[in-house]
Amino acid sequence: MTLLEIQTFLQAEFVGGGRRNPAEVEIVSACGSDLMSDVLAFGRQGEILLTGLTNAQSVRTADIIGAVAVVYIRGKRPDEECLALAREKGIPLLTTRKMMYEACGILYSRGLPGVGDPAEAETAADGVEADALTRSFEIAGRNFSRAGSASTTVKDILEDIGIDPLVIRRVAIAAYEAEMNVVMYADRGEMTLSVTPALVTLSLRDEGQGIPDIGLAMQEGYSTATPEMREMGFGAGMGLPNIKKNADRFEITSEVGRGTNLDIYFHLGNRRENRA
Amino acid sequence: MTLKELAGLLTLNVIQPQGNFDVVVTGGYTSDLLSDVMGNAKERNVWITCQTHENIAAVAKLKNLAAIILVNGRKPDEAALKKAREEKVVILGTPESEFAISGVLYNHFKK
Repeated sequence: MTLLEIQTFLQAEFVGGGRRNPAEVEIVSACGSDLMSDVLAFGRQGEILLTGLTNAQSVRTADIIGAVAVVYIRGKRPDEECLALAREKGIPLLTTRKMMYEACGILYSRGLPGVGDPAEAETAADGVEADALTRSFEIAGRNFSRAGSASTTVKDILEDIGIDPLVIRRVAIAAYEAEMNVVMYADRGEMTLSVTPALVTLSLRDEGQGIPDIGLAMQEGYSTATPEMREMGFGAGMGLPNIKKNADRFEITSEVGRGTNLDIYFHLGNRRENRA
Repeated sequence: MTLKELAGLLTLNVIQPQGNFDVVVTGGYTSDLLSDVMGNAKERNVWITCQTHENIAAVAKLKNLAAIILVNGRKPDEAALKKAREEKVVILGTPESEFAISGVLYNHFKK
């Protein structure tokens, strides 16, 4: 189904973002959600994201999972920051007056599936032959407007050096969840990306409240998020489980009142299934 | 369509059975933002969401919703389950997505 067809079915209008000919933009599946953690956990490459969340995190999430376009429901319009990011990332943004339920119903009846085939991306790992590359990014705690920028930069770097797109996607999802945890729960933090021919490593160090019970925090659905965090589309207790699911190896240590350290590893070369 | 028929149509799991399965469902509302559901859901709608914390039971009760359908295999947390039991808010579950469940239900009601 093309974006033009979706626009017609939903009587949607373009509100900005990436300028692409909608008749040539192919959409393979759809995901409707206001919780970005669920989109990160269940979203697929090539899909269209339907959401009522209109801040920049909607576009960051779409970019990270490889969604092709975003449709805002209930006549909602993205803010300026969101529009600027979508232009930068080449993601078209639309708005429809329909509610989520109806928008999903219409697209479903037109044959758009809820779950697309995992993207058949080609391996491009032969571009990696340089020495270890290391980059560090500051993360400002409690600053939601900048949140996600380190992760999108990580994704851009990995794309530039030609890492397997399926690995990039997993790294980007884990990076974004980890970055959001720093933004939500810490005063400041740092994310370090390191790439060797065999391994991508993400290390996060933050100064913040720490996690009293890591076992509990690893459970899906367990969350200490405030209502504000939930309204941002995060804090549904999916963050750490999402990181673990996407990583080949994951280590976490934390000290209450001091901060939390994450080390997340992704193997290159021996490809694993995109989705466990 | 009663809630019992709807649960059968969508092959939903019953997570919290205390409540009224004979209620006639008026349609669906899909959202993960509680304030949005408070503002826009209609009486005796089923609420399709992936939110699992305890406030979902209160919202469903206040809006007199027919039931909550949790998608993506999500389970309510303990507090939500307890609250839903007390308030007699039926919670149903499915491994399907919000998109798919909304799609099936919308098209069923449109017939």
